[in-house]
Amino acid sequence: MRRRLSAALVAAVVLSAVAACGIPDETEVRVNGPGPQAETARADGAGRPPRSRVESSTDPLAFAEDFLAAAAGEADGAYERFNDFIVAEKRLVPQPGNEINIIRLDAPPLVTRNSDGTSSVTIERVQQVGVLRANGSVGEPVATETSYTFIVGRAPTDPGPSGGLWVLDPPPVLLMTDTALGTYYRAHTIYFWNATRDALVPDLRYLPRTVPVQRQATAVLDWLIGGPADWLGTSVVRLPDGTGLLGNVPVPQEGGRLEVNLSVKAGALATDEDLDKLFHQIVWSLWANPLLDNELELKIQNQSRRVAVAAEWRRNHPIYGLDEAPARFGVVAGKVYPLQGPGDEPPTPIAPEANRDVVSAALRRHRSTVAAALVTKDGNAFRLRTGAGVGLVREFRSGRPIAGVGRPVWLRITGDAGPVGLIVADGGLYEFGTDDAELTPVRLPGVSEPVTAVGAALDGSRIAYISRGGLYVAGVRTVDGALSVGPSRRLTTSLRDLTAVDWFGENTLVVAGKRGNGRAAIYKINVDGTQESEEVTDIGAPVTHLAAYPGNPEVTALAPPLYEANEVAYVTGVPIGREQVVTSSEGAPSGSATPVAPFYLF
Amino acid sequence: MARTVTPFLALLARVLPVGRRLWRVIAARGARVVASLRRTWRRSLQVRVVTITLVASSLLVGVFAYLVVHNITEVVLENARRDVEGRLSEGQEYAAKQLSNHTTPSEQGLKATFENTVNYLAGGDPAQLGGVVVTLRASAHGVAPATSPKVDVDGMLTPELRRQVESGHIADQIRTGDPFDTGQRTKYLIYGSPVPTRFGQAELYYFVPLTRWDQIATGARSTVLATGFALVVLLGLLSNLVTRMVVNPVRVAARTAQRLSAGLLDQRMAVNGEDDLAMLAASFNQMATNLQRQIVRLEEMSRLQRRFTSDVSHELRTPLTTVRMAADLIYAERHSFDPAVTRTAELLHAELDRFEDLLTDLLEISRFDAGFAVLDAEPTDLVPVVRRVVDRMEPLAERCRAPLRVVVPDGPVIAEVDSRRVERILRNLVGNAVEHGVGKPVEVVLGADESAVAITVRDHGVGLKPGEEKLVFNRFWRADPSRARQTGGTGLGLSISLEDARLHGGWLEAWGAPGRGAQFRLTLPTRAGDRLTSSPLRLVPADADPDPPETSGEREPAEPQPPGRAPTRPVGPRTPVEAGSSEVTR
Repeated sequence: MRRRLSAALVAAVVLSAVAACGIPDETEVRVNGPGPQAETARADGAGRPPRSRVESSTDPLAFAEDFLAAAAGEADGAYERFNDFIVAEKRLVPQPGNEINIIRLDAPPLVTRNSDGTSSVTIERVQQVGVLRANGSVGEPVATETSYTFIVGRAPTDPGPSGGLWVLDPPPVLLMTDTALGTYYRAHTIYFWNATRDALVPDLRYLPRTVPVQRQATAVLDWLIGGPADWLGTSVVRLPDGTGLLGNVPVPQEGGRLEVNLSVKAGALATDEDLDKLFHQIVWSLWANPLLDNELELKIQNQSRRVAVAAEWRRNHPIYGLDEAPARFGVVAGKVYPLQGPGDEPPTPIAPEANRDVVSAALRRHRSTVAAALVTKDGNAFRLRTGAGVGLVREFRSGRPIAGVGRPVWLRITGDAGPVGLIVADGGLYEFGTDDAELTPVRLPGVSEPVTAVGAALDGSRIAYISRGGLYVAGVRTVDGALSVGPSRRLTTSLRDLTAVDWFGENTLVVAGKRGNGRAAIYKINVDGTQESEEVTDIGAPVTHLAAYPGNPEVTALAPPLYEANEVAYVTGVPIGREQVVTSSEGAPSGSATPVAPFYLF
Repeated sequence: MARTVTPFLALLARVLPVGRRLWRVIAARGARVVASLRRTWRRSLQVRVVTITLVASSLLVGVFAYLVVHNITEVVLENARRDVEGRLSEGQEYAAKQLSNHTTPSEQGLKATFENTVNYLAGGDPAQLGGVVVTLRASAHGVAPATSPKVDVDGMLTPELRRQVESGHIADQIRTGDPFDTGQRTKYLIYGSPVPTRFGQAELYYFVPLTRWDQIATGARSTVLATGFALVVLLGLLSNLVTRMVVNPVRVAARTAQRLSAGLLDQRMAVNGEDDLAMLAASFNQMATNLQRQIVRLEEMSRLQRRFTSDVSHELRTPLTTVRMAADLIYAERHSFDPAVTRTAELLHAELDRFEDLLTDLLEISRFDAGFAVLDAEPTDLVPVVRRVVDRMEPLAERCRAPLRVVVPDGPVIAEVDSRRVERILRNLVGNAVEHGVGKPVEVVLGADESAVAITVRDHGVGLKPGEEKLVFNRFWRADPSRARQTGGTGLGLSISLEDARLHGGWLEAWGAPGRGAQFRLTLPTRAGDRLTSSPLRLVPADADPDPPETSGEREPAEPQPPGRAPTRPVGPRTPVEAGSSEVTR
């Protein structure tokens, strides 16, 4: 009996054990081993943020300068950092977009002590340079104020002097000086395809230096996806609609592969060509990124689509197709002569019989093809003669006579739309081609003539021009064989009475005008006007002719701007003498004429 | 204190007896149930076999099922673990890559990266992912945790798991919870891994619902359990069937045998088929038939013999009466004859007396054989009975010069007996003792206890040879066949006495040893119909025993047997009558 009972008990236990076994509801923590170790490396390459209020000086002037730099940094925190200086009740209400107004001061802020212990800080003759957007581009300024005043002092609620200064009465908008932009931001160039998708167009962006180098690639991709700056909107194409970045761009190991993972809408990027173009765009947009030291992998929807060593790709797929260093040329006694420069001096690529009566000229080459545009004197009038040839331009076509004419520039000499040149004639902007020397007017929407100077960017999709003393940049594209200029962006510059402009880099212009003291000068200026620096000053006469070689990542060359003032050609303030004329191929110029209208062949 | 204790004690005192009673009732009922179960277990081979089969197969199937289910669960869980481990490893790598963009926890894009990473890892639409929840945390750096889908899983994350993961281990745990607020709790396998970043360590957790795995495990368990249960039931049924097939004929055979032994000689077993059990039944039936035939034949023979004896006795009585009357006449006139004829008449008269006695005894015996003897029992004081018999035998004793000694208790010895038959027995025993006493004293002892009375008759004559204790009760048996019958015994006296004792449910036993005399003991139950278990007097006299026991009334089996003597009383639960007749071994 007892045996039976115990057996039944055992059976019940076994059955209940069977019934109980299964996946348990709760278990103890099971350790599977050590996980990957965290790296303790701290931020490297990230710059210091601007001084905060508590770090700032108690001197009102230094405090005011810190205040005007406070907004620098990532856009999300701009208002927070700016408001951090302001007493609580006067803080600005953050506006959507977190746009920062960039101003240029021509003098330090003026501090006036008030009887109540506070100080009034006044900034006068403020130039509104632009607004820094969250996407790092600088748009046209919206504010028009030329002076701001704000009160600085100790907050009444502060317990003691340790509390530091406060902005008691702030300016109405978010302000940052252009020097703060230069100090706390790093300029980045990203590229978009032009409207015909045959050339990349640079777009200048600013990334706060507080953003570590590890995040730069992600930021660049975000910019690319976000689209071009406003003024380039019509002349470049955006990435296909629906393109997005999947996650961040991971930081590769040293010498490892940088992976860019994009999501695209179905049907987009269907062809290999599309992929190549996108890859090309990304490789070039990341060219300054130190993390891209080996391969770049483009993934679409997690699928690897393109892998290439970035440096090789860039070498094999240049943006501009420039092969040789720029060569200087000048017009001496009606003929185009090579001028001595730092590099080789190629012979003049113009047939000698055509090389006469030249007033000014523009030469541009693409591989062995050379395009030439000559402004020749024809009695009292001028005539444009254009032509193209392999190595040497022999045949020229002549246009109709024109009364007043500026320097011709080549916008581009290849592409589906054919070579396009630009020239300012009779106060208007005109285009021409190698096989068509007739001038076709180019309409500049929203800008009133007369146009006095024009410069063409290396990419062939941007121009800079001077109209009524104002400096403009605009994107261009070809519509039905004619050049169409997009909305112009006026740049703020300290110079006035501008006379000449040319591109000095992918995102830099050189512009000639008068300084505040009335003397002529040449300034280097960013394509968005935020950075301005003197290139040549104290030129005795107005600069009538200005030519530069646009610096670019492909062929870096020492190529200072060439200009002409009072019919004397200069390079970096030094006149170009007759001895610098290279006369090997054709005989020495007659008379004692010195070179004029200097320019670069590139 | 005392005040509080007293009512409690009073209550206890009141409650205790009730509880005790209740407990007693329950215990009694339990004991009854247990006893009934135990009886069933002892009596039913079928119950035993089925129970043992059920228990053994349950154990076996249970162990097997446990192993199978355990293994399946382990495999399933291991698969789930490997699955999640794979995901976690990939997720951790992805998260580490994503977080490589950030060098300080205060960066503004970090939160977005957290969100994007968990969204990517969770895969977007929670409905299509079966409820996988991914959460990325870096609490140590003051970053708000990001979870996708946006549910609260903090409650399911144990501090121990977080501690292990935060200390740089990959760890997992199974927890049950309802993060989606569906009202249904689900088991989740939670896997956590540290994610190395440039600003320190973040932790990635995967919450993977085990619903599918659980279903697999549960399904396997149900199948195994159902199969096991069915197997056990089947085995039970099978064993029941087989046992019944075997046990039923055995039961039938047992019942039939019982009936046969109860006298129903025409009982037979049903014979079905040709198997072993059918053979058993057939053999059994044949055996029963043979037995029946033999018994009937023997009965018939016995009946005829008894009838013959009875008939002969009756038939002899009528002529004997006539012969008797004539002989009595001649005997009365013997003095008128010459001496030789007188002697003849006297011889004729004496032999006729003997002949009459013989006939009377034969008739008595035949009455016993025919089963017509009836006990006429009534409470009787045995002391006067003994004295009366002894008094009557006194003349014979004097003639034989064998003094008679009587030992009786002081008080009356009452027993339900048939005094006529007891007297006959005593007369026979005392007569025998006097005859064989060779002039030595004969002792008659009466003893009694609660359940029995006993009378022993002891002589000191030639005694009995070994084996004669049994023979003395045979009909017409003589110790020395050549010895002439002096006392006129018929040779049936002890047989009749044995039958009388048997009729009382008593014992009549003999003891004797050559040269040491003999002793006969009559033991009768005090109440008619009672079973005898012991006798108040010893069968073997004390003077015959080298080391006599201290008291009388001992239990017979404990009685030490003198060397060379056979046991004189029955062993085991047999009827005393049978014992008296068949087990006495002299």
